Amino acid sequence: MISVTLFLVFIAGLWINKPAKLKSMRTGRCACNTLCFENHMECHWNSEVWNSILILSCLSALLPLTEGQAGHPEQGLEDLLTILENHKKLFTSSTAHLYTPKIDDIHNCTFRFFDCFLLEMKVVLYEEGSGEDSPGVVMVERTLQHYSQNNCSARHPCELQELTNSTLFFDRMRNFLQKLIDNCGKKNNATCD
Amino acid sequence: HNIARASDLCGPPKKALNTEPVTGNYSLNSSIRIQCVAGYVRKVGTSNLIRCLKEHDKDKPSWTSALPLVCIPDPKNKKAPRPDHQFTSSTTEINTPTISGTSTSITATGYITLPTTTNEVFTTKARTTNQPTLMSTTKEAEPITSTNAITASSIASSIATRQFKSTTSPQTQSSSFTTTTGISLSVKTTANMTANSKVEPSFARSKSTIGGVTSIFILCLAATLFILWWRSRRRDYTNVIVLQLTNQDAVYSDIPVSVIAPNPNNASIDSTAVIGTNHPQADSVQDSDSIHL
Repeated sequence: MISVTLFLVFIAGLWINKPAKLKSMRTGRCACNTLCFENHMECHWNSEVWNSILILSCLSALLPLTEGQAGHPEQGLEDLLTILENHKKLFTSSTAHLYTPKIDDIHNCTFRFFDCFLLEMKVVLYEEGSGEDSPGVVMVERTLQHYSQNNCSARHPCELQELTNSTLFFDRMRNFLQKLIDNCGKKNNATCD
Repeated sequence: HNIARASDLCGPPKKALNTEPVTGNYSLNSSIRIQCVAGYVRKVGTSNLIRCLKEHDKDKPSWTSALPLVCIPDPKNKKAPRPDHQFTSSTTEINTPTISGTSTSITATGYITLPTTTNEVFTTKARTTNQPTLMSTTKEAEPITSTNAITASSIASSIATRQFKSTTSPQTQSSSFTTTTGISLSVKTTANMTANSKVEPSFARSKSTIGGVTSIFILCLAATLFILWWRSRRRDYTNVIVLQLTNQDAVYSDIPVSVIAPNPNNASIDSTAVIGTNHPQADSVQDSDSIHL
C-alpha cells in the first residue's frame, strides 16, 4: 500500500512537471532573456517541490515502520495474540512438553516470562511444520528481538518452570498476553519483576 | 503388504551431547523425541523432535530438526553433573617372568660335539579396552634361531605376555605404537578409535525481516537517482534552447542601415524599393522562426 502510494505520487510528479513547449521568440534580447530566466526558475522550482514531496513521503512512510511495536506495544501484543489464536490447532495437536510459567501472580506490566512463552511458541510452530518465512514465525522472531533487550530471562531462567502439555501452554500464554495488553496499554514502563 | 526398503529407512540418529542414545531403524516420515541424560534438561527454544525425511538432493533419508536439541545442566540441581564423555579407553600393563629354553644336538659321524645353548626371549604385548571397541591389528614376526652345529638346528622359544595401561583422550581420533623386543620379535599394534562425537549442525537461525523497509528505501533511492538524471538532461536541453535564441538575435543585428534610411529625392521609387527589399527579410525571419521551432 505504501509502495503503491509512493509510486502514484511519483507518476503524478512526472506528469505535472513535464517540460512545456517553448514558443518562438520574436522580441528583443531583454525580453527573451527574461522569459528564459523565468522558465528556468519554473523548471527548478517544480523539480525541487516534487523532490521534497517525494522525500517527505518516504520519511513519513518509514517512521511508522521504524517505531513499530516500540511506539505502540499493545498493537504488537494484539497481533501476537491474533497469531496465537490462529495457530490453536497446532498447539492442541502437538505432543511437545513445554516450559510453562505460572502467571497467577502477574498483575502489572512485566516481561518476566515473555521470552519463555515466545521461545516455546516458536518450538511448536517449527515442530508442526511452519517454516522460517511463515507469518507466525516471523512475528515471533521480531518480537523476540525487540523484547529480549530487557534480558528478563537471565533473572528468571525458563528451565526452572514446570513442563506442561501444549494445550495448557496455549491457555496460559493466551492469558498472559491478555494481561499484558490490559496492563501495558496505559503506561509503557515494563519491568522484569 | 508394503515392505519398507532399506533406502527408505533411517538408521539410529547420531547421538547429540548429553542425550540418551537411540537405537533401531525408522521408516520414512517417522518422528521421535530424544531425551536428555539425567541431570540435564532441554534448553528453552530448542526441540527434541527429529524427523526421518528425504531431502530432494539426497538419495537416502536422514534425520532432520529445525531447532536442534541442546541439553544444558539442570538449573534445579546445585551441583554440576558429570560431563558425558563419548567414549573411554584404558589398558593395564602386567609384567610376567621370562622363560628361557636350551637345546642340544648330536651328529651321526661318531664323534661327540659340545652342546650349544640358545636363549630366545621375546615379548608379546596386548591391549584390552572398554566401550567403545577399539579396532586393532597386530603383526608378529616368527622367531627362528640356529645353533653353531654343522648339521642340526633347533628352535627354542619362550613367550611372555605383557600388558600395559594407558588412557586415551576422547578427542583423540586415532593412535598407534610400535615396539620391538629381543632379537627377532617385532610386534606392531595400530589402534583406531572411533569417536561418537560429531559437529553440531549449524542450522541458520531465522532473522528479523525488514524487507518492507528495505524495499521502500530502495524505491526512494531509485526515484531520486532518476529525478537527478532527468533534471540534468533537461538542463542540457535548456542550454541548447538558449544557444539557438542567441543565434536568432545575431540574425536581427545583421540588417544594413542603408536600407532602413529613406531617400527624399525619389520618395515613391525609393519607398517601393524599400518595401521590395523588406520582403526577403521577412521571409528569412519566418524561415528562422520555423527552423527554430
